[in-house]
Amino acid sequence: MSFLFNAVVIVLAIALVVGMIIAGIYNNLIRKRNMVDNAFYSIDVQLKKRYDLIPSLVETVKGYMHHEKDLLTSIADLRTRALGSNDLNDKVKLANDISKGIGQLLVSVENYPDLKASQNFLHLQASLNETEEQLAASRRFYNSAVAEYHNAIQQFPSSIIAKRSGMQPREYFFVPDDQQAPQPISFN
Amino acid sequence: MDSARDFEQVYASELKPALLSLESRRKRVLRDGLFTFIPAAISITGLIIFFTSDRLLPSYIYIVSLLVLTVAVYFGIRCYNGNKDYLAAFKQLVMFAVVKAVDPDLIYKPFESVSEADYKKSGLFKDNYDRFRGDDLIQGLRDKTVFCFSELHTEEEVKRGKSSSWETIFRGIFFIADFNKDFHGRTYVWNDHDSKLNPLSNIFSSFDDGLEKIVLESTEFESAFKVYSSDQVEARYILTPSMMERMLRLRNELNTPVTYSFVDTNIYVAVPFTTELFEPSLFAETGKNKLKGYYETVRAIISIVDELELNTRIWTKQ
Repeated sequence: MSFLFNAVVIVLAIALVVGMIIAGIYNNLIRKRNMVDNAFYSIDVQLKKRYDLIPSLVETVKGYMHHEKDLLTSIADLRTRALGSNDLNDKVKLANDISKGIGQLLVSVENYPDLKASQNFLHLQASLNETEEQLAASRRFYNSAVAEYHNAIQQFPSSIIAKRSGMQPREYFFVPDDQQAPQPISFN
Repeated sequence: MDSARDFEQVYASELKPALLSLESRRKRVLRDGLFTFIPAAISITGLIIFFTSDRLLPSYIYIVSLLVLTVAVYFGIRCYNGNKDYLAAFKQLVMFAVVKAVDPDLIYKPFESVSEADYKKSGLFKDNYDRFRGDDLIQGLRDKTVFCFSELHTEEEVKRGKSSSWETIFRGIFFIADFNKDFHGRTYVWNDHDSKLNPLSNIFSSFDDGLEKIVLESTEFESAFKVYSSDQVEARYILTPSMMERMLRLRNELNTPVTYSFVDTNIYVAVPFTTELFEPSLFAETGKNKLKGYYETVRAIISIVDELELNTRIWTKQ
């Protein structure tokens, strides 16, 4: 009787320990996945800030730029599409396209000295630089959170729990080399 | 330093005459030192003989010894005050000219240091220090960046049984500048292996105090520093890939384990030195090379502003 009782206690104790380990691993996975979500949210915030700047940017440069009407229209269209997009891949692609467009726009500004000197534009440019820098930081945080999450869902033993809980790998937020975010331009 | 004057020129016109006038003071202090040491030795010998001799010695030995001791005390006080005056004169005449040679607009306060409040705010070191000493405060504006730095020596008293000793927490130059980006959290870039620098060293969990360990992409940076911050995104906003490169380069150029913190829109840079800076030696004449060394040190510290490109104000903070 006492042997059976001891055996039951031991089995229960082992089950409890194993259960706690599994719960620990699961919580860790959830924490990492939440971190990815938080990081993506911080990108979203910065993208939103950038999209908020675009109407003022287009409005400010429109009066000066005479040969870039198409570019301005395409940036405005991309912004409208980006604001309505919910798909990650789509968001990334649109964000990269907008980066490229703004980059081209800032290069064209060099041809318009009056625009370059305008206080309104200088202020906008500082805000854009700020958002780009913040966006780059958010993107780096997101990618590092994704890398950490991927390690967790691919390494044994957490990979088993991840698989059973249906945890899927996430996309990295890459910026293609030819579509790097516009480089900050100095005021001087 | 665009407005830096040529050291050679300043040396010939200002430093050399100042050093010459100081030289006579230095010799006077040394002479007073000698006049303290010899009578003190004679009187102490006399007193020892008087009190330890088996025979009864005449009392004039005692009286003369005391008189000689009075002479020693007189010269001792003169020597102490003379040394203080000599140090003050060195700072006011020589170091002042050295600092102005680097940039005439710099403000030099020889007997002040960065404040204890700033030191604590930097969060770079354990703040349970027992002794806080510093001098040679230099303040200035380099283009758009306000900065200040001073020599600093903080210590803690370590008690072992009945005896206690002083252990250095930080000794070197403590530099503070206005950072070129706005931020709200705290980010610390500590050395990888230095328990004195890192207030978290005694805490096993890195998540205490609201700080998180930040893992950055640069393996070189990761192997040199450990980064903790209250905000994952903000840490990366401050520590951009190019900023990390510049911070590593500065550390290599100064050839000392520099550490950084970013708190309250300021950057704090701790540059450890093992020797006392900007102080003359009493036992040797201060030469041109030593002053040139001080001049170069002041320049190197101010160049942190340029090295870290703190004047690049292209973001919303102007």
